[in-house]
Amino acid sequence: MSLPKHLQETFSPEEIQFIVENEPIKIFPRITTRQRINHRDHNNNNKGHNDTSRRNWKLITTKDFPLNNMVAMQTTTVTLWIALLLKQQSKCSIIAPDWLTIRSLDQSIQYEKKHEDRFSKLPWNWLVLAQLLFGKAPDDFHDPVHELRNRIQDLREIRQLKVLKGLKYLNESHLQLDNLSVLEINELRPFIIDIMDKLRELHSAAHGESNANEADDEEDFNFS
Amino acid sequence: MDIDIEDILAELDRDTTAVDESLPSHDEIPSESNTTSHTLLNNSLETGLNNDKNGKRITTTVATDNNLRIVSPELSFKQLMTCWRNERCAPELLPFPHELMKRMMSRIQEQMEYIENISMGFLENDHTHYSDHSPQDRNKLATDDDPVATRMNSNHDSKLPLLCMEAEIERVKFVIRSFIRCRLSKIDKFSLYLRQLKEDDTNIISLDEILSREELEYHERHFLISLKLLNDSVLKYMPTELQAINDTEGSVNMIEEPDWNKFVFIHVVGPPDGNLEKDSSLTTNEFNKYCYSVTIPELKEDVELTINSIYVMRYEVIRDLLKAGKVELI
Repeated sequence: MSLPKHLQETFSPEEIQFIVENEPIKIFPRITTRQRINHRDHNNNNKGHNDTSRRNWKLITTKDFPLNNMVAMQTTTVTLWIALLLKQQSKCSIIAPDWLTIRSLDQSIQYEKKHEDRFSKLPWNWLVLAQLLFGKAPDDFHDPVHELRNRIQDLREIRQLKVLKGLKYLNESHLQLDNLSVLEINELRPFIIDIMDKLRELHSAAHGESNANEADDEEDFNFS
Repeated sequence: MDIDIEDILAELDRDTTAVDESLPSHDEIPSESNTTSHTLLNNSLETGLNNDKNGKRITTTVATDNNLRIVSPELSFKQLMTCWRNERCAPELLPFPHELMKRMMSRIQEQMEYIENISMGFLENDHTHYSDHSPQDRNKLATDDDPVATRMNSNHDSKLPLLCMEAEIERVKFVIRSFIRCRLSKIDKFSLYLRQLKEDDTNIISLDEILSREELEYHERHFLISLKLLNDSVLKYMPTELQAINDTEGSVNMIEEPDWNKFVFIHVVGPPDGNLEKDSSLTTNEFNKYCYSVTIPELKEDVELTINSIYVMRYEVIRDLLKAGKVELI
């Protein structure tokens, strides 16, 4: 079909990364793109040249204003994919978000350990963003990267354990999964949805036959 | 999200009059004779572009003025991303976002022309400059850390904005392509069902709203082609009462409908305008959080969907909320 089979029910990890790359992030530019306003009374010879040598950013998916007003070493917020592109050319350094420090990651780990029944409030893109920044901007962190990596890995494992526990409660009505990140959802999606669909089919088939004695039916389900 | 257009326009006005004195004039002397003509040419091109830019801002304002709101490019891209994600996850074919797609396509078109114009400017003017002066510029950059010189240099030969604009256009095109391919695969799958919708007059939603013009054509012709294949190869040898390919009376229903109760992951985002008080379907629960109350009819069970939470939920239950933009699929 026009959409490949493996993409029909879910996103590929690359697409998840694509989605995350559309989020804003803070950077320190190393170039200045802000135009000077003075020199109004200069000779006309240079005027034409100035016009043509200026390359304006004109973007159609994000605000181009911050990009046209970059001043070296003044923080500004741009879309992540532009930040990565600038970083690649060493035209900026990326400021890691607040939660991506050893301190706050430790807090999250503490929270995860204390509360068995819920996930800590990490941003929805934490796993992808951490991976991207470790890969593309490892020199921009204040904390040593290997420490951060370790903590991200710890968090990932703790949360995976919780997910495994949660899978016991797959049912035919619904689940609530607050604070689960987009990548975690994506890897679970085919599994959870298939199982719950099957449970639902079984339930509705049974339900359709024994419509009269609903009470029994509910009990049956509690046992199974 | 409102853009301060005044600010941008003022910036543009400044740009056309601002002259950078930091540009060393002797740099220009060697290629003076051929730059002047080019600069003239480019100058007119540039102002034309600037006008175009202004013009475009105005036209987008006018085009959407019917709805009495200005749709910024950022917002429409966000909407496109939401549409794409919803379409990828939803079991049914969602209505085609006609207005949004029209806007996006025209923006892409304009942007491509703009990029082309700019790169033409590169060839005509800057190319000659590079060969003559780039070593000199680099020297200057190395010798003194004068920020103005650095800026001029980076501005002068920077292809960065161009690179970004091209990358951006690729990204937008990718989303649109993926979106449309996803829809086409659904059209393939539900071809008979869509046909049934079309023939059924009692239907609330017409096929024109669900499909775009191209999709309608694809649907029609693809259906005919596959029908012809089936007819010629197999069906013509069947007894007449078994020749229909959309038989609903037989032991198995031949029309594949979307699986309305399929489970989907949803994120409850709340009313699109962000005004929680105005939404009448919102209620507060015992923890004093806003939530939507929905009922799963088959289980006779009420579920509270709290704002900003993630659920795995049956599609049928949240269909109306999805159409109203109060939940998103993930």
